[in-house]
Amino acid sequence: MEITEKKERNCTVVSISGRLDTTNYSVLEKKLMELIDSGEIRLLVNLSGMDYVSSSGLRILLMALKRITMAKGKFVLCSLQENIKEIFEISGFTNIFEICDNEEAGKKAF
Amino acid sequence: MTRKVKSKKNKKDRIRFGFRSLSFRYSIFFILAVMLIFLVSFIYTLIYTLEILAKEAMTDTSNTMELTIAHLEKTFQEVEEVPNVLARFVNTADPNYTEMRKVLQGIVLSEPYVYGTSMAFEPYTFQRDSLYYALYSYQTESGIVTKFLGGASYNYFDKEWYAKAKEAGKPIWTEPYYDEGGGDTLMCTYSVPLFRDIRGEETFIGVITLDISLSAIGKAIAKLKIYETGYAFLVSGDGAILYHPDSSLINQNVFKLAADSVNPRFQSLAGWITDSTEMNKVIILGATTNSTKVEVLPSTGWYLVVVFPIKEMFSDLIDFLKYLGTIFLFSLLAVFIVTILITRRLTKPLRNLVKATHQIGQGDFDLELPRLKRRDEIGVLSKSFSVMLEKLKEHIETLQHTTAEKEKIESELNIAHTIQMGMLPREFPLRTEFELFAMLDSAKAVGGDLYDFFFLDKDHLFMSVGDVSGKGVPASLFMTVVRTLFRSRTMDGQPLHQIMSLINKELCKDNPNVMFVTMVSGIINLKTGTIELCNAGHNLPLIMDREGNVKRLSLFSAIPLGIEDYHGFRTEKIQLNPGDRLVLYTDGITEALNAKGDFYNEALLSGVLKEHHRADVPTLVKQVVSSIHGFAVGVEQADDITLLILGYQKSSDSGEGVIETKAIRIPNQLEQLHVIVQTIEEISRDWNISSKASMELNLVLEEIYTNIVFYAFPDKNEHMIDIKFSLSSSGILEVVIIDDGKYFDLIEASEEVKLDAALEERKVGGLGIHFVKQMMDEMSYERRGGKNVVTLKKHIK
Repeated sequence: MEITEKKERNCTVVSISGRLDTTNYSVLEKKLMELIDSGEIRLLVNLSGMDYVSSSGLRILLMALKRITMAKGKFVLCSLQENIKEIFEISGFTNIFEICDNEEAGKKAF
Repeated sequence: MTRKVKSKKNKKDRIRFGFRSLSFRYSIFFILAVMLIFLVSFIYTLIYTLEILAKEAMTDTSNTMELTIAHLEKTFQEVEEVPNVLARFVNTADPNYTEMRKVLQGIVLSEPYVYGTSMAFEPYTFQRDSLYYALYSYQTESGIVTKFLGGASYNYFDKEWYAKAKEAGKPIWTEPYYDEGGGDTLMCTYSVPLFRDIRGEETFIGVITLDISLSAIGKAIAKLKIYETGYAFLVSGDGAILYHPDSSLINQNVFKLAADSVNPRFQSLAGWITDSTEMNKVIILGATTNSTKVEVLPSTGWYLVVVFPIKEMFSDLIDFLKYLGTIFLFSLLAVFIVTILITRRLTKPLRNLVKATHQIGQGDFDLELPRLKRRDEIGVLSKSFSVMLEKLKEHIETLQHTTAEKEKIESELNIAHTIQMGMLPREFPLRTEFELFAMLDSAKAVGGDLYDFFFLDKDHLFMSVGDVSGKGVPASLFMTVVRTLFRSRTMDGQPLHQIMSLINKELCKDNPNVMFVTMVSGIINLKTGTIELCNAGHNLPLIMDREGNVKRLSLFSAIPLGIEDYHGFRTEKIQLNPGDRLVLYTDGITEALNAKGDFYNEALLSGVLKEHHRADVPTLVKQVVSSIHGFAVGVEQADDITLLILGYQKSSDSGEGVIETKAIRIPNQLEQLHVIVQTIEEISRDWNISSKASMELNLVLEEIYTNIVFYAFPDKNEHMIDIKFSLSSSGILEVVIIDDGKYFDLIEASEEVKLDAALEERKVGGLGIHFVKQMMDEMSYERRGGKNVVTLKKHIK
């Protein structure tokens, strides 16, 4: 799994690629919590490179969403692959996450 | 064994008995005994000698006293004779002055004790005109002087010597006195009355006296030499001391002295004089160590007292005793030294032996024992000790030799055992349609049992259990041959009985020791559950159904392999039902003995199998083997124990055969997750599984696996988790996950996830099981043989 972040005009884009599972979710957890703690509460997470996410990975995304929502920030996901989208659907996450088709659309949501 | 132990204690351990040594103790005892004997005899001798000496001393003293007394008596008798002569002279010769003076002077001259002599007459008797008439001759320094006594200044009629003699009418001795008239010496006077026959009448006419100089008597007494300081003294009948070496006491009265003085000598003395019965006793006076003897002088009634010092009396004896004691002490010392020397000499070989024992005790067996020529107990001991040492040496050498041999053989046997065990297949196939597990527990390092199994092809598994006659290396070598033959011959696809015949023939060919092997072999068709079995003189296999009912298979029993060329082997077919367990074993199980001598028979085996019929096959095998060990506890295992159990499960619910299988076994470490991922990738590619299904499989297995890793094992030890994949021809993918962790029913435990809940209500966890339920078509949980078995099914085509 690779995590990159870039600062945009009105939000921070975090790109996650590869496999997010039980063995590495804590890396993402740390990263996201650091960002939120440092006041970056406008986050756009680009999942275009992510080809696998397990429930533990989903848990981190849910935690991040909850914390940012409480901090009155905004947390948007974009560019989900088809199978990842299915997992989100099975999980019921499509109902609670704001998901955009691509990064451009995501940025516009802020 | 270490031959030489160098120890720091060596110095300390050196034999030093010192005061505890035999020689010292022996000498001490000896000396004490000698001393005791000496002392007793010494004391006895002392007492005896003292008695004798005392007796002798007394006798000596008595003799001396008697002699003195006799001497004195003789003197007195001589003295007493003189007046009679004088009286006769006076009465017959009627002498004149000159004659009388001559006689008196002659007496004084001739009698050494006589100081003076007198003749005193009654008034007007000797000379008619004279009141006084007394003539006195006595010694002076210038010679013998004669003078007249009597006159106004010296009225001798009143004097004791005159008056008393006159009054008594017989001779008397006066008490001592200083004669102021005559000589100035202490004297006693012997006065004899003088009578004359006047007209037929004895008439008193005067007194004849003899003055005895006490100093002269004293000289005689002083001659009595009584040891060094002993002395004698003379006491008159009235108690006046007539002579005493201490001149101040002379003329003193003992009664007065006794009354005045605290000196007990005189008190006792006074006592004896008063009571004459006390006399002649030798007693010790008061606190002084002097003894006193008193004798009476018969003529005068005086007492001769002899004081003799006991100390001096025995001084010779004491000197002698001192001398004797010194000699005795020196002799004792000499005896002591001699005894020590002798005992040391006597016990020297003993000490050498002790030293030798010590050295031997420290491992020095090459010690040379001194040869002793003596034939006493010590000689015998030393000799037997040498013999013992020799034997010990021999024994140790033999022991070392045999131990080395034994160790060598044992290590070789251990290697052989390792090789033999290495030949037995340990990797048991992980397949969904059957379970197989076997154990071989050899009685000795190298055993004669064997089991084997291998796939002939995808659907056919060969298995065998055998027992080679005998044990040890030959049996294990034979077993290796058998195994190799089966491995090489069974691949040919021939029927089982032909394979057995062939191998039998081969084994018979070069078998000079006529070793043989009993064996049951079988080939199972895993698709159909049909099993072909062939028995060569082996224990008949058991079969247990799903409910735990055990029965023995009644197979034809041909002769064991290796005995003779034989063609009567038979292949017999058995149909296994799903859940059936086929049990192959050797007689090491049914003939295991317990302490009472009972066999672990087939009935017990069946019982244990039934008891654990729900357990999985490996557990079942282990349970049976541990029950045998429990049964035979305390008894040495006599034979190898071999048990192989095949559990048959029908592969697919549709009854269709399994076309693909894959199994992995991974430890409970999260890092091993990639093995699952890789395996899924592999089977997805090989079995043509869609990427969506593959990802779902990934998700599900990750959930279950992580769940097991996190929660199943509180003990933190390593555990293995089995995952078996199989694909049936109808396109159903079955995944079985088995772990031996604590009971956990995944399905029961899962909570319903509310998918439409608002963000605030959505729980962070619980998604995993939701995925499993969502993504798999079937899911079942089973607790089987202490294991959690989760079976998942999914249609993938």
